Amino acid sequence: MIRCPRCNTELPDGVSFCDACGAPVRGAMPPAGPVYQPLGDGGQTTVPPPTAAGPSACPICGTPVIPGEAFCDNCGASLLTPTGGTAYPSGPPPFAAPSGPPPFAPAPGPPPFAPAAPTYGAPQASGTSPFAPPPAVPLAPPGSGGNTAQPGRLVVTASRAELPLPLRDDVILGREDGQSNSFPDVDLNPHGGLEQGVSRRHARISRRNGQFYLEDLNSVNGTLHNQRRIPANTPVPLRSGDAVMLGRLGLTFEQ
Amino acid sequence: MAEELNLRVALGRPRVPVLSSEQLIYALVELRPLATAAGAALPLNLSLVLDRSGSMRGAKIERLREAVLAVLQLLQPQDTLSVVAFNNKARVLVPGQAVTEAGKAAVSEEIRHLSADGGTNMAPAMEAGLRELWQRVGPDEGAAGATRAMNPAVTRMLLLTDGITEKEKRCLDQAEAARGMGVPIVALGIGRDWNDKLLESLAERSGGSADYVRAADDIPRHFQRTVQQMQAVALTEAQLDVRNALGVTCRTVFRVHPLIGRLATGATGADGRSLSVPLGEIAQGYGQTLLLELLVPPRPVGAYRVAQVVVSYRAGSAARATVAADVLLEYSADPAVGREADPAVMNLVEKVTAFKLQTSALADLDAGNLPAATGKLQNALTRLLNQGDVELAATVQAELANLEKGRTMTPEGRKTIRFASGQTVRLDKL
Repeated sequence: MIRCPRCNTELPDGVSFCDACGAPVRGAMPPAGPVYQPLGDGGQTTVPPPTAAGPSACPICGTPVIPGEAFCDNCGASLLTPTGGTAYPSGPPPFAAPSGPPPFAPAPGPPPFAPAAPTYGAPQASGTSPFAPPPAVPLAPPGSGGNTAQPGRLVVTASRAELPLPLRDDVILGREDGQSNSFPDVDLNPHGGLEQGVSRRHARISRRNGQFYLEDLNSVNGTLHNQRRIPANTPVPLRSGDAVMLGRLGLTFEQ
Repeated sequence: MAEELNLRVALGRPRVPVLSSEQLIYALVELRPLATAAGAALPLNLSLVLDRSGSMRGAKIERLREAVLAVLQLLQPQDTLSVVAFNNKARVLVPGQAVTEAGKAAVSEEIRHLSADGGTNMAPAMEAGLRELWQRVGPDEGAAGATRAMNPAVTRMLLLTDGITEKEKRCLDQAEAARGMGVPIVALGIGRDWNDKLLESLAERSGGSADYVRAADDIPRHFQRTVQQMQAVALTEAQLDVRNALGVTCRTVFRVHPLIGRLATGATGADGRSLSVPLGEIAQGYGQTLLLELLVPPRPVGAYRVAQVVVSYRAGSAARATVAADVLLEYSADPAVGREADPAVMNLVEKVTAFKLQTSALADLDAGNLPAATGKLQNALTRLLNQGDVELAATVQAELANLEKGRTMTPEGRKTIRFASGQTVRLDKL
């Protein structure tokens, strides 16, 4: 008869793990397993103070959640992204008011972009966008120079890294993830996209008639345009120098 | 022992931070039959229960005849086939018989004369189908379990309908009887006027599956797939046992592959620490993948076995065999380990979430709670787009627009959402 080094339960000889608490019994740990640290004489000295468990309610609907839960049981909101907080308990709150300039008033000038529900096109071969183009903006006639305008680029606020936009009418911003077959045109993984709450398909920058538009693709953490949250699936005009925030990842659009 | 089945456990987070509270970990359990399990191809016992009501007239009944002939081509002399057709009345076209060349000719002749008229009364036909299956499942002597073990066969009722049936309650009773006999029902609905909730209940109660046949041309493919899946069955009577360490609870067990569904909730067993879940058959080339939600208590830094996963099964008529694996979890002092998620596991967690949101939204809609339903569909849409499932996302998006306009979904959209959301393997991808 042996005893569990952790909880002192009596165990039959030859067992690898304590039947009660699950701790490995000394000497029987599989070689590839993580290192087991036996308690020192002081008992508690090697035990670190427990970390706070993080928020215990869904940030979207307020339903109680358990640390480690990936999605809210009630509303389905993602809980492991920065907004959820369980994995990043010390992070700033999402969409905290920026300490800089006050929110912009809507820019005067062109009439507001007509919002219309986007429609899905028929499924296409992989690699092309399955979405129909944003509505109601006809392409420039050939020769008008509409799509030969200056290519746009995004500048990551934190690192000043420049991300040129591919020369095409629709560019998806997001995070590459082979597991879920997500290959956006601009992958923000190398720029902290995961930590900053960028969805795998987060937003789209499209170009019609030489004008750029920004559209949120129903992302979990939303998109800010010049510090204002934009509604999902509704393209808004995008101009050089505009601030774009995907989740908490700050970018500047330049043309 | 256990040369037939490969068991692997992967954790969503292999290391967790030490917390003062309970936390949740996801454990993925993959079951894959090894090639050695393929040796004993089991005989099949299949009953086709087919709707021949007036609304089946035209392309549907024509494709249905072709589908039955396609099934005949796939079956072997060791297999048994019966065919029941129904409108207001049930009629046994082909009593349960071996699929010999002579048998095939007789069935082809019967099917050629299958025509469509009359109403829809499904329960008596289900009863007749079960009776035909029973001829082989249960010889005269002994209890059903004992005879099945001596005389193993892969049994299915394949049910196809395009209409609302009379006496739904009696259909559900037949599904319960099918479960008792070990007969999973594959329930297929075609067209727009059938009750998706009923077919799903029939599948659920009998341990089978339900699906939506979008077009008449797809009927043969669905029939062929059903037979091919039966032929792929390598192991039968599988059962999962989760044995938790003290303080650990297995909150839910979901099947995530080949079809998403909730299998069990909460702990059972005398000591409250073990959970047993019947898994049915395990097919070659498909296997089964399960997702466990384990609630683990606070523990000091170190590695622990939080649970043991044990799977038992039967290969052919051999005695039950068992495979087991430990669920090992490391508690770390570093709070940052919580973000080390295994993307493969979390991807399936997200799929299950999208499925839960969609089924729960349909239930909200049936209960008249439109805001809750649209909220859940909206969130399901995000999950689906994250997953890259743009086709199903398009359907959800369109039905959200319909709900906004007219407070109802189209019958086609509703059926697509109900049945496509659970499928990790889509027919059109096979």
